[in-house]
Amino acid sequence: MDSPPELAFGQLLLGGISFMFLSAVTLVLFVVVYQKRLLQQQLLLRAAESEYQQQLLAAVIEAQEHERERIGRDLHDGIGSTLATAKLLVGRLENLNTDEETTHLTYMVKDILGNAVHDVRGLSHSLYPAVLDRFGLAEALQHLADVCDEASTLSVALTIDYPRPLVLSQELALYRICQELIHNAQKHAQGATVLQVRLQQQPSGLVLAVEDNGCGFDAAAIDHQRALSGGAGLRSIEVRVQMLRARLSQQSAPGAGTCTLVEMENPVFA
Amino acid sequence: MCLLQTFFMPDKITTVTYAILALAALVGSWRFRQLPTSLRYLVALVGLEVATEILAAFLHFYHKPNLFINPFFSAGEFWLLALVYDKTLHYPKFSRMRPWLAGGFAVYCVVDSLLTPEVAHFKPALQLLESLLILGLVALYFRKLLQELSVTRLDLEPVFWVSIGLVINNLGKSQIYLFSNYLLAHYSNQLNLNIWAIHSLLLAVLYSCYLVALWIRPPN
Repeated sequence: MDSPPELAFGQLLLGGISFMFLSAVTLVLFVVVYQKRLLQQQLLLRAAESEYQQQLLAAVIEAQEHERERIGRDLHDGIGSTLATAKLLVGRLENLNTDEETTHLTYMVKDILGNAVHDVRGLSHSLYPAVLDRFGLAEALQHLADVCDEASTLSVALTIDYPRPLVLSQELALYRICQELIHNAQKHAQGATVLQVRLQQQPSGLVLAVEDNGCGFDAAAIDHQRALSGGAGLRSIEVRVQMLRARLSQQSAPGAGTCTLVEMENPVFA
Repeated sequence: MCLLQTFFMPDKITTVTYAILALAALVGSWRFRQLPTSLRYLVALVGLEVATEILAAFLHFYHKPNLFINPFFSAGEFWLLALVYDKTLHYPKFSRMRPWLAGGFAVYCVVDSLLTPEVAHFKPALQLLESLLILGLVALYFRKLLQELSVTRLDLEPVFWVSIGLVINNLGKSQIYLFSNYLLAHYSNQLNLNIWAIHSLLLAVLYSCYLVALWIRPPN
């Protein structure tokens, strides 16, 4: 028979070992359960990322298709019909009797061909802004603002503080973002009278801000609508913002206008 | 302690533990060529365990003290386990530190054995230090598991099984080693046998985990 102190010590030691054993089992179970939970979270995150990438890809493809459709329409309805008219008029030149009529018709053909050249330049500029390549982002934005001022009632106020040019690929992305934001403002900012575009280089990076004083929108409702409709324009902006490794933020409220900010922290200088 | 004695049946437990160790050694030898480097070191560790057990049993048979083997076995065990985890973790910092850590521990074991050559007592400080170091390796592995999330099936991850065995064994045996000399000096032989039977049980868990780790085929 064991003595009472020995029995007590034996039980104490056994209790200690059992406690350690249970602690070890608990630790292992914790690792198993926690790892499983983290894996599930990671899977969900990956699925969400994958869906987002799919949406971006779809938006890029949709934007490409829209652009092709627009170019096709411009070629067919604009330049194509202008050149067809010019061809008809040139055909009539052969059958004319008087010099006066010939002079008049030649003048008309020159005028029509002049319009066609103008249309081709406009189309070419919309496809690739040559001014950006030649004179840089500041000049290209100024040109864009001038064109928008001419084309719509919305006045564009441009503020540029851009002493150190970026590489062409980043300038092109910023130009396209600005182009899309101006286009969006012209299309959706009802009642807007002025559109402020600011490009500012700061010690910490670069900020592009596009702000209108139009009707604004309810951000939550727009998010829902975008999820349903796809929102190709904004998605193409998001793609370019991602490419620039920048941050995109948009503030708006009904009746309070819209302000879109693109903030780049590490621009690459040319 | 009668209940304990009936429940644990020390001899049977020891036999089962040896059987599991032998099986692990057999499986390890059989699959050695197909195993990754980390598990080859585990096979070497199982081999070391077998050799140590044989030597200890041989000395016990001839009534010679065999406790002096313990520090040398601890040094070898930690060296091989550090290699197993090094090949699994792929942490450059750990790879640089490992020879110093394992070498330092081995030097400590040798110096401790030379300075205090105990033949009738355990070395709880050395055993506890080894347990702490091994638990540190396991903690590093668990941290990697939770941070990188590269393993989708833990039940098919050999080193996870090794880690389970090491955590259970080292946490459990730390209590036994802490009181080993006190137990030896103050209490009956029967209580000592029962407590060491629990130690055998913990070893059986460890060897079972080694066996599973060497048996399973992880997905590529």
